[in-house]
Amino acid sequence: MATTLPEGVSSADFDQAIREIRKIVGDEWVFLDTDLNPYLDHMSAVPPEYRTPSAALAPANVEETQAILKIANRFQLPLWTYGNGKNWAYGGPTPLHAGYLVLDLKRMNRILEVNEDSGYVLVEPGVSYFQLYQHLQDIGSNLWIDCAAPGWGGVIGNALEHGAGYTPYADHYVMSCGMEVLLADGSLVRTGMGAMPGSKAWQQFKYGYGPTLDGMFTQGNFGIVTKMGFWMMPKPPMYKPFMFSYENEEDLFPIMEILRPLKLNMVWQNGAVGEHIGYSASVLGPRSDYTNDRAPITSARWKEIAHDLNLGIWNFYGACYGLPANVEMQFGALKGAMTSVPGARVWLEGDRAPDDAGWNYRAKLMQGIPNMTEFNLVNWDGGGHLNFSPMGPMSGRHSTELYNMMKEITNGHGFDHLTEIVGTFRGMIALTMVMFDPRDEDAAKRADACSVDIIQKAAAAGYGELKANLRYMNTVMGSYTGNDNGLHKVNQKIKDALDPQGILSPGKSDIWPSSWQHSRAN
Amino acid sequence: MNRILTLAIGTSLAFLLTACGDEPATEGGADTETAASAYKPTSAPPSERVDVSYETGEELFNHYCFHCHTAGDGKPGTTMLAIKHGAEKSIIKGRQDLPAEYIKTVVRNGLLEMPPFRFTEISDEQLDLVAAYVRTP
Repeated sequence: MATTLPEGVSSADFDQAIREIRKIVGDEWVFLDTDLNPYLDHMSAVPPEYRTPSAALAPANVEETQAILKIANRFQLPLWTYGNGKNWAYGGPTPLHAGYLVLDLKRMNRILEVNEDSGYVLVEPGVSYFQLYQHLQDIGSNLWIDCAAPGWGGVIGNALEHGAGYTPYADHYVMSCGMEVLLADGSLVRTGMGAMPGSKAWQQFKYGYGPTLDGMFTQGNFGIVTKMGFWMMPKPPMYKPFMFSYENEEDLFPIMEILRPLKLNMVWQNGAVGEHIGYSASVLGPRSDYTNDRAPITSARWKEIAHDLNLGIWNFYGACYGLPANVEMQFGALKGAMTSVPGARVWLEGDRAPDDAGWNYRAKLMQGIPNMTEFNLVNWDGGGHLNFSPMGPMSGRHSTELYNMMKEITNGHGFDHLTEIVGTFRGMIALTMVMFDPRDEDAAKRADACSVDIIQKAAAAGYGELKANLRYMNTVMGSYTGNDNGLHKVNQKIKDALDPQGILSPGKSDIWPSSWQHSRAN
Repeated sequence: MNRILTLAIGTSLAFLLTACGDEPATEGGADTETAASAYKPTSAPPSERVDVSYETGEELFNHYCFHCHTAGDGKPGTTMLAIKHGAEKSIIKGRQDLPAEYIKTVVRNGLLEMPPFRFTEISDEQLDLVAAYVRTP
């Protein structure tokens, strides 16, 4: 494979930099040429060669990372930071542009502290959900983790991307407490109480004194997070998972109206995950199990599929947590409200078939047991998949409008609509997956066009996208343009102040220093 | 739509009332004593820092492969292999028809719906152990 060098870096300088980095991390932790294959994204709508890195570097600790930063500043090498997990549907470990160097933090995989008394952990960026869960099991901890659907995900990486799980501690950034961050110039910062030497409450209280900076180091490129604390939920005395299923597509309106006060009053304690039958069916089997027709599956056919799977058109999963008497009282309230929609059915532990993979993995996730079952949906139609999370208010009107929009756009480009509606504290995500075969050029092109349509049409209607595959970062930021691009401008000012040369992940979330403006349009 | 709107407006008030009408389940039934013991204070010392690592082929397999490639519903790798090659070849553990080199190539490069795994996740030496473990009946 021919090496694409970072823009503006000579071959001699690149070679010199690599020689010096080898001395820091050791030869075996610098990857070039064909050793870069695992850093490519095979599931994208564009060929992986578009984003081949020039090298990948894997430091073992903060000190080695600081030494790499020094060299990167000297030779103006763009480092694309990557922690753990697969970043599937969002670009994998691959950098935004060919030629960047991947800074792979996977070797920094220590669980630094498990504090049973205060209920928190302090971890490094290479720690996965599987690893943290296994460790807590091994030491007999009473703490639950809260994991994303794929257990291979990174505890820090997911939180930095504003990811979520399924217990009451689902909002991973909200449940974080204290960061250690390396800046582009190599200086090290601890946020919150951690800034004070000898502080005894870095992971107990978020704010410390002065402006709270933590959020600035999420979903951006202002620093490299090298340690992060997370609050962990103690195992409750009782856990009761449930599912409410509904017969009709248009039931979404009353469901969401009923759900809102339940969420606002915290009667429904965790995220309310409402799978459309398309989402449920995709976890249970590939597309070929349900149809041989290439046209998007129709509403009538979805109804038959729901019937065959003994599911609803909508399937809302949740759980109650706490003392048994409280749990039963809360569940009574939920059941009374949620079954007031005609045709609603209630499902509890033992009601589904023992081998119902859909129920089983939800019941695991809602108590923080990591698994990989949801990724059965990747088998739907060829493996390529792009994820979108347009956000709106939790209401019948907005959920219905956004759901119909997602359906119309994906079906219009020839894809099934695989959507789940998630009720958070106040907002609602219409998570939508575009599934395609990346080996089919026409399908990949349609998936690409479909993605841009989803972002832009949702934004035009007031529903902003929360996450983006590398390819669509500037499309998403291009919808957050209020006050004469006020957000984009302040991001750039911060980037100019902290990283004027654009060493750290230039272009992440469409944030560039002034010196890189020529790259922005690409 | 009228029916739906009426239902929706009514429900935000109704759920509090219906809560009282439902029979609580009999299990649990926490009184003050069980409530206190359920939330008893802990006094665990801070943990030692831990380097997460796996040593044997089995440990590595259980961490990196198990969740997609073992028997049972809900395993994406097993599902895909069943589609491609039939049920009898869908579980990789014990498949001696898979050469070690082939296993290693798939892990490093990905195949179909499986993503590649980086050297920082699993080293070449560890991958040898995994390949040997997979091929062991």
